Formats: sequence, C-alpha cells, structure tokens
Amino acid sequence: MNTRPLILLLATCAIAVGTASAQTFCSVREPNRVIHEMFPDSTGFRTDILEITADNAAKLPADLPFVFDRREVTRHPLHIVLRDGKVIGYVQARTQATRWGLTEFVWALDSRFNLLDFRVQRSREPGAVTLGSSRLGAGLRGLGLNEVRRRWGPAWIEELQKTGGLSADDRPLVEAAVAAGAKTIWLATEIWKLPAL
Amino acid sequence: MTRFGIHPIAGVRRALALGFGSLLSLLPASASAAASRTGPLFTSDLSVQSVMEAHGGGRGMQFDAGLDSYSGIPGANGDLATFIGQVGIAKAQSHPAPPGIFKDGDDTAFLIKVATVNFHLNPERSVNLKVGHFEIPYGLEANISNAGELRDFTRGRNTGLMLDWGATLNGTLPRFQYEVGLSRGSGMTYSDRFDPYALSARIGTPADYEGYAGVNAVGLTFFRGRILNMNRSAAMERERVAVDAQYYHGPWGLLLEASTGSNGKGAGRTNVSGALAEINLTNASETLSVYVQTLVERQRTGARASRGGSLVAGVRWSPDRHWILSLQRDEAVWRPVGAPAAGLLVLQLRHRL
Repeated sequence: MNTRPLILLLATCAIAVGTASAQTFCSVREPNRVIHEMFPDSTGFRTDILEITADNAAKLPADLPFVFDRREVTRHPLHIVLRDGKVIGYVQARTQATRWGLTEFVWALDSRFNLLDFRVQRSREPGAVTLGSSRLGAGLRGLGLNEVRRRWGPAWIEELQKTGGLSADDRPLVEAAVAAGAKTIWLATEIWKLPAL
Repeated sequence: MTRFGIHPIAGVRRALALGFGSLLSLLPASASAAASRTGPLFTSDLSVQSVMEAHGGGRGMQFDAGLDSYSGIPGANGDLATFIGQVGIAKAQSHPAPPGIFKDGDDTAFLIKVATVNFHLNPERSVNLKVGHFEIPYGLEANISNAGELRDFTRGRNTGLMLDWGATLNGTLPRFQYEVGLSRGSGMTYSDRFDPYALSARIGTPADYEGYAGVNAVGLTFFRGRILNMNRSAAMERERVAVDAQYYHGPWGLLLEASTGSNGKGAGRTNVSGALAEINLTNASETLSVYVQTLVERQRTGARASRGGSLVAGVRWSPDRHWILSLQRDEAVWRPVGAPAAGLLVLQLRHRL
C-alpha cells in the first residue's frame, strides 16, 4: 500500500486546520436530557460553536467573580434552545476548578440572559449530588450579571448556601456554580454579543 | 472563599506566564468576537509511541495521525442530525506487539474510525438513529473516552470489536441512557465473509458525558455476535453479559467491569468470565492522573480450564488541552504454567489541535 499520499494529505490537513479549530470532540456533549428538563416546552435546539480567545479573557473586568483557566481558551458549544423556531434560551456546559478536580455545570439562561437553572454534569466533590438536587438554582433564577456582580461576596455565598439547604462544606461548590453562571452570561453578552430577545 | 480577591486578569497572565503563551498565540485573533461556527469543525490528532518488551525482547514505534470532524446538520427547528467523522493513518515500525489493525510489526494502515450520522428522531433527542461506523456500546467505554489513549478496558478482548458498521438506536431519558446496535460484525473494514454480525446493547445511568475523566455511573451490557477476525480468515461466535460501575470521590476513582459468556460454539465452545478493577488518583487541576488495573480471566472448554491475569500501571500528564504524555507498564502476572513472561512498557506523546 502506497501510503505517502495519505500521509501528505493528513499532514496538510493537520497544518491547515490547526489554527482554525481547537475542539476536543470527546468533550462535545449534547445535554439533551437536561435541556428538556430546564426548558420543558422547547421543541428543539441547535448547537453553535463559539470561541474564547486569550484576548477575550484579558477583557474580563476585575470585579467579576471568576477567572479563566488556560484550558478554556478554545471553542465551546452553545446550545440555542428553540420553541417553534423561536429562541427561548441558551444552555452551555461550563467547567470550574473546585477542591478535588474540575466540576462541570450545565447552565441555562433565559432569552434575556438571566440565570434560569443549572445541573451538575460531572464532579469529584462529595457535595455535588446534594448541590445538583438543591434549591440553589431556584434561588438564583432571574438574576442578571449586574445583580450577581453587586451581590457577590462571602455573606451572599453563605446566604445562598443556607437557602439551598447546603452545608458549609459545600460553599466552594456554591461559589463555583454562581461563577459558572455569571461567566456564561458575560461571555454571551460581552464577548459573543448574542442579541437579547 | 478561595476565589475572592483573585484578580481575574492576573489569573490569565499567570497562565501565560506558565509558558503557554506560545500555544495561545496560535489562536486566530480575528475570530475573537461573535465567532459563530455552525459548519464542520476539524481537529488533528497526532501521536507517537515507543513500545518496549519488558523482558529483554524487541522495541519499536507506532505513529498515528488522525483528523476528526464534527458538525450539526441544521433544520428549521434545531439540528436534525449530528455528524462525526474520524480518519487516520497508523504506522508500526518494529513493533513487538502490534495491535490487530496491523498485519505485522512493520505495517501501515489507513483507518476509518468513528464515522456516524446520528439522526435525532424527536425534539428531546431521546430517540436517535445512528448509522455508520460506530463504537460498540459496551461497559465503561460508554462514558469514558479512551480512543487514542494507552489506558484500556475490556471491550476489545470481550467482543473482538471496537468499532463496527451498522446502526444503533440511542438516547438519554430522565432515568437511563441506552444504545442498541445491529452491525456487520467485521470491525474496522466492511466484509460479509462468513456472514458475521453483532448485536450489542447497553443501558446505564444517564450521564450526558463522554470524556477521559469519567462520571459516576453504572451500566449493563449484552453482546452477541459472529465476529470476523482481523485477517478475515475465520469468524467466531461470542456472547457476553457485562456490568460496569465507576465512582469518584475526591481525588480517587474506582472502576469495575465484569463479564461472563462464551467464545465459539458446539464442542469447541469456551466459557469465559473475566473482570477488570481500576483505582485511579487525580490531582486537583486534573492535569495528572495515575491508575492501577487488575485484569483476570477464566476460560473453560470441556474439562480443560485455565486462568490468567495481568497488572497494569500508568500515568498520564496533560498540562494543557493540546498535549498528553502517558506511560504505561503491563505485566502478565498470572499465566499458564510454562508460558513465558510477557509485559510491555509504552511511552506515548500525543498532540491534539
């Protein structure tokens, strides 16, 4: 088998696409189950791929309660939730560093980019199961980026922890959940400039 | 409150200062704002492995180059289907234990790996029809992606297949996820010689996840088939029932996979049972992980019985989303009387863009 043309083809493709894409497909998730849970009246969704660049990350205002991990500087799937063809919300998986590893949240925003609800997709934290079934999502519902920014602080996180019926040990997870939601809003509105509907 | 007081830009600058600036600079600045992409995405996957027999035998190399693509196929009310395509070329050079894709230790193979279109049959995507060259739904690998990694589980040794040509019904419901497949039974290449086939079905915890790290989940797999061997010289009946479980708590992960079934039919039928247990340890940033696996297998053909087993230890370091450096050592610790010692040491460097 003469493999030289194939090797050349693959090498050429690798060089050509290398700077245009950075998506690890193993991590492409289609959280259809949780999308339907969080938007029970949806009739479908489509997935767009949006990018976080180092330039974007550097634009982050200092008063926002999150940072970017270098591994986030890549392309991310954004699920645009539809009802009869009309956009009713957005869903994105967002990874935050927590005590024992990376916790992956799936955050839903309404069509005006306010927090709607979230699920914990993957976590090594002992409190993650409790957090996923807690009332924290309901406690954050309707908040926009500026409200999160204004309220953020140890007292509010403690209040959310108590409201959600969570223990003090779960506080880092609460912080991470709120930060993931706020980060999703910031990216959608300030970086990707998605139109509010 | 570990995140209070950390200046976010300082966090990015710290990341740049760690030596990853050159990688970040590869990204196109022009795509920085509102860069929506609904067409196909491409990723390259390059790997080089150094393979050495642990007991004074040969040593060799394996080179892999792959190209992955992903795309949603749009419709008026959301995506109608999802396409995934992976092609690659692999070359073995003096490989002391060449994988089945190679004819011998000095061979080159062109590979069509996953190549599927998954049609979403309802808006919730709880019922989907996947056609093409798909991964056999089996055990731990339903939620853990080991493609291209040194770490392995027991799907290949139990089913005789990793991928096959055919179709599956699949989906995720509130209480479980499922995949049921009917396929040709010929593996990497399509062939109807000896009329092979494979029936595979797995039901498990709904996870919405497939990655290297895994997720808390359990599953039950059924498999039956007449599987064509790699050089298409024979086909063998195989049946398995398998259970799998994975659990993560803090830095620790515990993985289990156990199966029972048979190979062959009639007088030559061999009853097979086996198990794999893994314990792994991961650092908080999930850049470094180590794992130890134990594999045991028992076979009985008529009055003859044999047992075997091996130990596997590995370490994987992935400092960023592009580079992976892995080292794995395996050893056939329990082997038939008179069988020579066998073990491999493999070092792999992998790069994904």
